[in-house]
Amino acid sequence: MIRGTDGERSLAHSEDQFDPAEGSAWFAEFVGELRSFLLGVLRNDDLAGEALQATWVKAVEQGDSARTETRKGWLFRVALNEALTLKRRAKVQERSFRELAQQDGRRHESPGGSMTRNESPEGFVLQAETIEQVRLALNDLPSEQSYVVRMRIYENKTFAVIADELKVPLGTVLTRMRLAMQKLQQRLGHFEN
Amino acid sequence: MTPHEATSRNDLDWLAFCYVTGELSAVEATAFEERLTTDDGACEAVARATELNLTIAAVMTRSSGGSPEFDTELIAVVGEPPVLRSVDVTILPSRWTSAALTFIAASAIAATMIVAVGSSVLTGHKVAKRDGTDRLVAAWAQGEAVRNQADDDSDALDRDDDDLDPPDWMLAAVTSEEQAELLPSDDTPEVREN
Repeated sequence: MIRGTDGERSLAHSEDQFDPAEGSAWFAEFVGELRSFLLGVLRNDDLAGEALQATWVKAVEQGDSARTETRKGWLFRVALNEALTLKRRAKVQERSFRELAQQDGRRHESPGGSMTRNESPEGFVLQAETIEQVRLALNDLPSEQSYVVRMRIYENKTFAVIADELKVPLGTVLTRMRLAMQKLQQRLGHFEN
Repeated sequence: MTPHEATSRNDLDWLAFCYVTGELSAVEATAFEERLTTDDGACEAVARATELNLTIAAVMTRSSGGSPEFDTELIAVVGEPPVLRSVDVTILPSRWTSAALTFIAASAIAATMIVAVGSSVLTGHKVAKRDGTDRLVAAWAQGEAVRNQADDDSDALDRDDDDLDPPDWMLAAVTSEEQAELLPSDDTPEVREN
């Protein structure tokens, strides 16, 4: 069962012993990862922001229902619940990662509006250091792998289209992409928490 | 491979990548979302995949400095490069690209002709033909001036900068004249200033 649903709100309020500032504080600890998670589920910056806002509200109002050791998991589940609700409610206009990355360079405010991304570097999805590491890692990839990465992520072509254009089997494209992503993830060890 | 069969970290990362890029079928995506409700590791994998994809997109946007559609168009013209990142792509409007290609081809022909023909002959033709080109450009500029005057009365400030570009027919004409001026000719005497 997903905690933090509307049905549990009255119970949380009845206890009325939870300090909202505490909920806001541990939400801020995971806000970057939560935002990435929501963008992955929704692939829509506006809706991801909306779901993040709703998650923050739940954290402030009902954070006492999460034990310290499960707070991150609790937030993920609340965020997923909000995201799936939004996804069902609205026909989500999914955007390419290129569009999302371009939007990411623009202004973003955290839920509550009091903390901008510039004021909270740990909340950034894209940090200069990370971008530089990825750039170096991409340069180290074999050309056939970096080509597939480019076509899939930057040009937003499906694997089937890429296979057709490169005139190679779909399995070859998938293998190249998978190997490339493995290398990039391994190179960027700081992604692993 | 079903979502629940993916157990290793690499498998999970790959599955998350396929999810966030929309490569999973509707059934697979629903199954994975079901897994997300109970598996924190899967949630973290989604966050990792998203962050990596966003970063890759940002890197490629910066390095390309332009639209991927143009890259594809250029590759279609010159042929697929063996190593993509070695290609130095310069972003140009398409009409200028075609004009540039025409000019390069004309220059290659001209270079061959220069070897065959003496430089003194070329000098004479160049002066004469340049007059023709200048008249062409002057005529276009005059037409633009008249049009600008008319626009000044209404919405001159709103004019797009593209309007200042020479038209395609002029580029073609100038290029062909550039090419022709390098060729020996038995035409009637040219009109010369001196």
